[in-house]
Amino acid sequence: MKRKLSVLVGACILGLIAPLTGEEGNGAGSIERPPNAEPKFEGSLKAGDKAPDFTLKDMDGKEVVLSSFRGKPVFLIFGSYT
Amino acid sequence: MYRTYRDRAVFLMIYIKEAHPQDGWQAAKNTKTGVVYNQPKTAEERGKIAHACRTTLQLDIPFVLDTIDNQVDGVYAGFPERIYIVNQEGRIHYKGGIGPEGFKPLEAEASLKELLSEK
Repeated sequence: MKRKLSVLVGACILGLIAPLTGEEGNGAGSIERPPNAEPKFEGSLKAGDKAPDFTLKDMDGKEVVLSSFRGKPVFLIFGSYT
Repeated sequence: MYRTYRDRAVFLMIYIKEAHPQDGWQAAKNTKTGVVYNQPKTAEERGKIAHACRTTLQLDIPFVLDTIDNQVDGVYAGFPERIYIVNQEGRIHYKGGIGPEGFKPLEAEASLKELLSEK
């Protein structure tokens, strides 16, 4: 029990939980949410699912829309510098 | 990989929240290499760190910035790092594991090759 609690606290410190709460925000960009979205670390998406469309800004402030690339495979890498 | 396949596939680095910010779980190796940043609180701050990442690591793959409230990461569960491949019809062809353990570029490349050979 104590170990489970430690893992949970560790996950909170890592910031793993915040993005999974489904909060709506006011940042630039948008994302469609699948109807079966669940608050799990693994997420609810799986192979075969429609990829939720999103609109995000590139480094020059230009909007990039995932669905605009239909017809070509899209290789998405999620990550950060640290 | 980007240079090999960029004429046949679109590559996007989705820059999400920091995995090891100075004001969070700072990693010793980042301190040693000077990769020390607080978790950004604005899109502008996130953009500056992403720019530093792209230029320092000399990456030419296109970057997009997740919203500061992490909307895309929230839906795709991309944190701290993960690879997806979306097929030509807009469906998920490959979903990699959670990084760093599950982050497997070679596995993803094999999946991309398979997808490209289907056409």
